Amino acid sequence: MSEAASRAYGSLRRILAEPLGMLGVVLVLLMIGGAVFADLLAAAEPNKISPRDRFLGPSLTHLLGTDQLGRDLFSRALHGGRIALSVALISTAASLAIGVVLGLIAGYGPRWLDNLMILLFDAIKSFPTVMLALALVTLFGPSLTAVMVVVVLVNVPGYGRIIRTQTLALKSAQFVTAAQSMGAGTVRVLRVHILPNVIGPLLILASMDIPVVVAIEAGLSFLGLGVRPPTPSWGAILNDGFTAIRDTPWIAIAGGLPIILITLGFTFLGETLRDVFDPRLKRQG
Amino acid sequence: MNVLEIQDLNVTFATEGGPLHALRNVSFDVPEHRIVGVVGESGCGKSTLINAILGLLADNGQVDSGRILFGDHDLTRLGPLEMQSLRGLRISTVFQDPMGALNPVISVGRQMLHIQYRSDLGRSEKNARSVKMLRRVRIPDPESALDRYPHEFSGGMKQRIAIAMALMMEPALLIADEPTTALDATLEVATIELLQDLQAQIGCSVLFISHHLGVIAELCDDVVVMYAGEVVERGTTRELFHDPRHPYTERLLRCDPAGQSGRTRHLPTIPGEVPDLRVRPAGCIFAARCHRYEGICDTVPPEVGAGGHRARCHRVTP
Amino acid sequence: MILTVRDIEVTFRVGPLLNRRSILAVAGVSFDVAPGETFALVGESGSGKTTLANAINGLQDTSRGEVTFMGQRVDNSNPGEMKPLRRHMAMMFQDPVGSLSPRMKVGDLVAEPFRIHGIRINLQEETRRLLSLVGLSGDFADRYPHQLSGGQARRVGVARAIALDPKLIIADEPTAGLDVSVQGEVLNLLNDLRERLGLAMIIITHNLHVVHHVADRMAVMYLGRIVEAGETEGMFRAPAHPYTATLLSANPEPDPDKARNRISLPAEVPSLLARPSGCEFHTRCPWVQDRCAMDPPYTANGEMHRIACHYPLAPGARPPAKDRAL
Repeated sequence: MSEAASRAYGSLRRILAEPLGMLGVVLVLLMIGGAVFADLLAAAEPNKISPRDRFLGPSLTHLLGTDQLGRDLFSRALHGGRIALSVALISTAASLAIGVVLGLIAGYGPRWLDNLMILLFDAIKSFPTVMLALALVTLFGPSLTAVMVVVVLVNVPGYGRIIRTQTLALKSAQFVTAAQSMGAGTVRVLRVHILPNVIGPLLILASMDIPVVVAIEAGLSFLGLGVRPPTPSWGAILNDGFTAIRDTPWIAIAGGLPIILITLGFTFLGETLRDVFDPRLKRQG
Repeated sequence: MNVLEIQDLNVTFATEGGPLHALRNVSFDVPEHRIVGVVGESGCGKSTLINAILGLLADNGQVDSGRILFGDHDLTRLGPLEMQSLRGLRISTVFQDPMGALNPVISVGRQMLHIQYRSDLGRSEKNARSVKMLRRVRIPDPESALDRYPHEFSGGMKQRIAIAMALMMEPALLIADEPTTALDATLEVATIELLQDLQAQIGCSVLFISHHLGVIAELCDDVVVMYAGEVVERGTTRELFHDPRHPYTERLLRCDPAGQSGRTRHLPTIPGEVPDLRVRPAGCIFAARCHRYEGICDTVPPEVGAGGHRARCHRVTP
Repeated sequence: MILTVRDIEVTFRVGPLLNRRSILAVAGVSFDVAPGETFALVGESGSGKTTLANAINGLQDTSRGEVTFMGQRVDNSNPGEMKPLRRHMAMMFQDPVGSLSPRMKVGDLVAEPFRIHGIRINLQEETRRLLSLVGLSGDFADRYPHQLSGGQARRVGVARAIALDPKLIIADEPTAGLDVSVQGEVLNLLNDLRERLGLAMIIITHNLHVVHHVADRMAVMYLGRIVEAGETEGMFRAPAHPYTATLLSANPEPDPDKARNRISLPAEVPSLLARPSGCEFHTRCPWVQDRCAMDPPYTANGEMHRIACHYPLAPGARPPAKDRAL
């Protein structure tokens, strides 16, 4: 165990040694910290309407100003981070889990199952993201769950394909045959011998996908297809600010800035992870 | 006359654990019209040696000192473009995997045309030369072979085509890196005999790298034995196999199961391991595993003189 | 007999969907292995020796014949039926490092057979015992495969193979990819263990020098068939099948002055898609006669020395002079 810990420590040092990696880690930690400790950091209630304080500019009491209903934007931005990050993390984790399982089945299972999976992946992929989202929201109504289902549907085919390709390549590797010859069953072969060898690159890709998910959530909420008001969401804040961007730009900034920061943070982190652990992926871009 | 002279060559690689001294004071000659074998086990520096000669050392590797003389050129000082114009024309190579030399999506005939791009001959004359060369490496029906693609040939034929392509421009030096290792025994001996015939016809010199003592004994005129980045012994094939002087050579020959007459249940081995080249011992590189070790071996590195049958060993240096 | 192989065939389907053809990779092979004996399967690439090993181990379905291991049929058995028998039959694969799972530590690799078969013992202690049995210190338990040399990785493979105290080890090219000075170590180790543990072994190799030192009996394969089988000593002294004689003569020896009475084979190995008529070696045989192209030679099972040839060679026979070209 101590060796694993020292390896993890070594990896962290390698990431922090890169300026971009350092910046990414700092940004990501800041955003996560902000979301987790939102109640402590922002004194104001995110949903408390105070008509007297409408359209106030940034000040010491309202760090990012207030919106058209007089709600504190700093508080709303931090609480919006909760929504954004939990949607991103939960749906990415779900996509990973489903993608990995389907990919392993496709890669290791019989040929017909593989063909079926590929057909499924391609069918989903052929829908444009926005169309898919609109269709789902029309069916189930706007909600966080709908957003997460969209994200999972969009991500699973890509993850599944990556796992499938690598599983196919490892299926006939000698160490897999060796395990089979000892009597290892399918589940053990997949869990012990194949999964640890295919999951690494996928985790790196997934960390780079998190900002995409944040953007999807924000985009849907912006369109009114995601989180329902008055729940704070970066996309909804952006929408609030959008109509009044000339007179009160701080509302749009309060919604847009965190999206930019989280995107940069995870992108820097993901790219550094990729360069440090899997230089091969770099060229494929 | 020597086609290739390697003089006191030192190569190091920058690694995370510090500089790795991959070749140390390597010196030997490849005389005209001779086949020189380089034999050694993994980690002895064979690949580094080839890459140094071809100017293809990895980015973290560099020649610290020494010279590689090829004709009038010192290959360690040539620029990449000059080196490129020598490779394939004056120095050609055959590798263990023939597919390294053959492009899978271009027909054999076209690839052989490409090699002759510097020649002034017309297309049909070039093709005629290709056919002649393929016939010399005993490819059946060479005319139709020109239109075929590498995957249509068996492994042994692919390697023979690679040899044909390497010798097409009649280079002064052919570097053959384990060219028979991936082949079956019957094909291996056929390929050795072929190389021998072609070398005699074309009159080039060959630097033949192998770990297979039997193949070296059969094919080569001279042998260089390498261990952990050093030349530990060199001499003619007969001298080396009949009168091995360096303890490593002696034990290596004894280890080869083919060297055992009759059946033994217990095969000889060389206990111990190749030293870590980042922390080279002060004395003889082989001291830790040597059965003829004495005090001086730990402190003073043995040196090897020029010419003749030489071993880098305190016990035998004349 | 611990293992009996009777007339087994393995068929592969190859080619594009509309032009599927089947090839016989193993074409009716029979042999027995006695307890404690070392049996060698010798052949060049494409001879079907590895496919045959996989068929015996149940990793490859057979299309005909019977494989009986410890009195039980094992050909085409499902994984559940086969699993209890796998404890007694261990396999070693060609690539010493590649046959070890890259993200597992040596300790876990050696403990894996116990975990698969749900055997509850002190794994740490047992792993140390097995490692020391193959000459590796306990420190190796914490290493990963890529931190091992070829010889060390091979030793780990041996430790895994003997872990469950098997009755039979099938070793596919146990010395492939190893340096000459390490080859001997591995062969000595296998020999010692065989004697100490009373194992039977099947060694699959193209390296005749290896066979000579370790095998009691050997079988030479060509195009998926056994062309000659018998006692190793006898076959080395007086090979009776022309192919065996060719293989033996094609064995480069480390002596520049050794007289080389080499037998060269004309033509390439025929494709399995177009097997020659009669004796399948007749297209390359230096001693070929008219009859060879028509009648397949017949061998009876159970004889001590089997030769699939109409005209077995006399000891020391040289090929007729006409066909010396490659």
